[in-house]
Amino acid sequence: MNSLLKVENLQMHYVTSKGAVRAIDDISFELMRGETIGLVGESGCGKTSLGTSILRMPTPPGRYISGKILVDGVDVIPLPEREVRRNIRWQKISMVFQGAMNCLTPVYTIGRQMMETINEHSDLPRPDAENLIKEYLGYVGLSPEIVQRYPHELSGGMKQRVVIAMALFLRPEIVILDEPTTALDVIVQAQIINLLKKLKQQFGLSFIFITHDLALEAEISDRLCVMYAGKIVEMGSNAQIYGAQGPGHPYTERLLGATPRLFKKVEQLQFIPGTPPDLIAPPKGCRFSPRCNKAFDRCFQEEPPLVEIEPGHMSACWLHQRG
Amino acid sequence: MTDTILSVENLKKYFEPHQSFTQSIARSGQKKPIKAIDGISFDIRRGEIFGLIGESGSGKTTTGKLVMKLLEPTSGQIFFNGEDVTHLSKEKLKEYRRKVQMIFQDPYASMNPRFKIKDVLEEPLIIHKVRATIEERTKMIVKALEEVKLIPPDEFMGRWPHMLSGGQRQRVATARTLILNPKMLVADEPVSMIDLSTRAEILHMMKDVQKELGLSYLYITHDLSTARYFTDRIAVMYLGRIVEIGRAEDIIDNPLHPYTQALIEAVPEPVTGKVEIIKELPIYGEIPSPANIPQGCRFHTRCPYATDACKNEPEPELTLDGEEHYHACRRAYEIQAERKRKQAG
Repeated sequence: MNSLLKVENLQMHYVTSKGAVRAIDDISFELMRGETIGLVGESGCGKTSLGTSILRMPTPPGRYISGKILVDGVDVIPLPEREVRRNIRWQKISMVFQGAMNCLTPVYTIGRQMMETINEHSDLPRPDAENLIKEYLGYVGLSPEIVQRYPHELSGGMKQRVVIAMALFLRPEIVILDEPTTALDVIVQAQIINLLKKLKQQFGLSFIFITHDLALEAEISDRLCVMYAGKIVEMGSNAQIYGAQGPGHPYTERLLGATPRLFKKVEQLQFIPGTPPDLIAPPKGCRFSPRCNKAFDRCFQEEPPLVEIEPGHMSACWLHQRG
Repeated sequence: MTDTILSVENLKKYFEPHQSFTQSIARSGQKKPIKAIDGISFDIRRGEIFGLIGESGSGKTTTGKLVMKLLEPTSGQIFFNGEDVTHLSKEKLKEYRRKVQMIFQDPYASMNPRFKIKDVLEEPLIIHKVRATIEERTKMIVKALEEVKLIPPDEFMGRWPHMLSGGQRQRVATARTLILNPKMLVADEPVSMIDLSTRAEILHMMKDVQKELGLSYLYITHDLSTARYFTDRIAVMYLGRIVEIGRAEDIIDNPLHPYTQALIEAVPEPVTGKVEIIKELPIYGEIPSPANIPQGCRFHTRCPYATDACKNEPEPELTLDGEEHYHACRRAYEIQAERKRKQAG
């Protein structure tokens, strides 16, 4: 396996009149070919910001402060927009945005909107583009007649399939999926997850799968990055996070505890009290310490580094060094 | 007084599509009505949390609206405390709505952003012309905020909705319903927009309030995973009909209708070793349009166990199995045997 994407010490802040919101604060990870990495955390932890940053389009007023995003060894942050659009965005990395299925224009047919995506990023002649659209609709399990339909005539699941097809047109190697199933029912969700697994095999794709649902990540991600308040607090394989031994970081443990289990009989569902911190002035020490039930003196003073606790399993918690 | 608080009998709601004049005279062009609710009956007991579960398009929200009297049913009856409330005069309706209150799905849209929390909670008192002095009203507001654990209440009363998190807003929404001392709450997906990490916290709060005040809930959701913990009984809806109804643990541990089985198998579980597996779902395709409900059993088009009988013979009615567990599938026992064989080998 070789590395496709490497993020090194990335910092991306939203510069506001109240101060810099440290949405991504020193994040490093590597995505291998054919791998699915799950980004998981509560709302506001920076997982969507990380997704758009990798695509070189942070939402204004987001600014890159430091760090590198290496695609095939080339840092994309300093590249001019024209070049990103020609060679990187949608060609190498594409994204299915959160709620993307609701961003289809109601006044244009599906075919016209799909055509727009192709024209924006390539010089393909029209008949070829039309064939391409039909081919990809087939891959996502939709009939080619759909090109003449309008978004309101399709169900949520069908629209999501259209959006996924649009992300795959230009044969990207990496697809970032931001909450691709949140607005969908469980059955449709399971169907979309199956579809993504098939497409991944067929095209040899790598995924970055963003969600707040740890149960869903268990279905699709080879490795997980658990984010809290702009930082990665734990990184490990599917087996390391969900296996019998359990996760390393108290935050992941609590998050897993708060995930409802259908077949487990419980008297009380668990939850994490409190809310995530303000990222303009994050708490001193470990950012999770105010909500952590295992925190001790050191946690409130110093920030714990991300250290390897077993091969391929990193966690940022002082408990590991306490022995 | 019986132990049933709300009783729904053979309720139907058809929406007539808009038609132009020419369409209405040309018989071929006539559009079919949308059968959102197609004959459902259920009882909610006093002090019970009753879950209504189904996909979007199954009619669960329409049922909630009918119970809230936000929509007029096409036919059928609704009884509240033994009294027929299907059709009510304006005055009676207001009285009814005081007893039956609703918590909406989106806590960001259900509150006026220009109202302070105090005003949000005072509004129902004004609408229902509750005669009370300012001090008494303040007392009622404080009590409602304490019931939903927004403590200290004085501090929250002066805040604006935008200063609260989603979970806190849903607590305010609950407090707003409690201020009128309702007997029953209709909660339509109250936690679906709240982060998983705090979802349980809100459900705890709702359950505590329910126990303390002896309320009954109609809890509408598409999420089965919290249902075992939260609800006492569950009704599973498909295309405007109830296909299975029973105690929560019976429905989840021993589902008899193939649709319920599919719903359960689709729920993701946080355990390792599933990345390489493509899950086999015992269901085909997507839910058909309620304007075009399939003949026979309405689930047969998606059911992997369907036979000719399912397609051609009249739709099966709910039949009793064991203690208060009803299902509407003519092949329930054969399917169960088949599934057991599959699981064993």
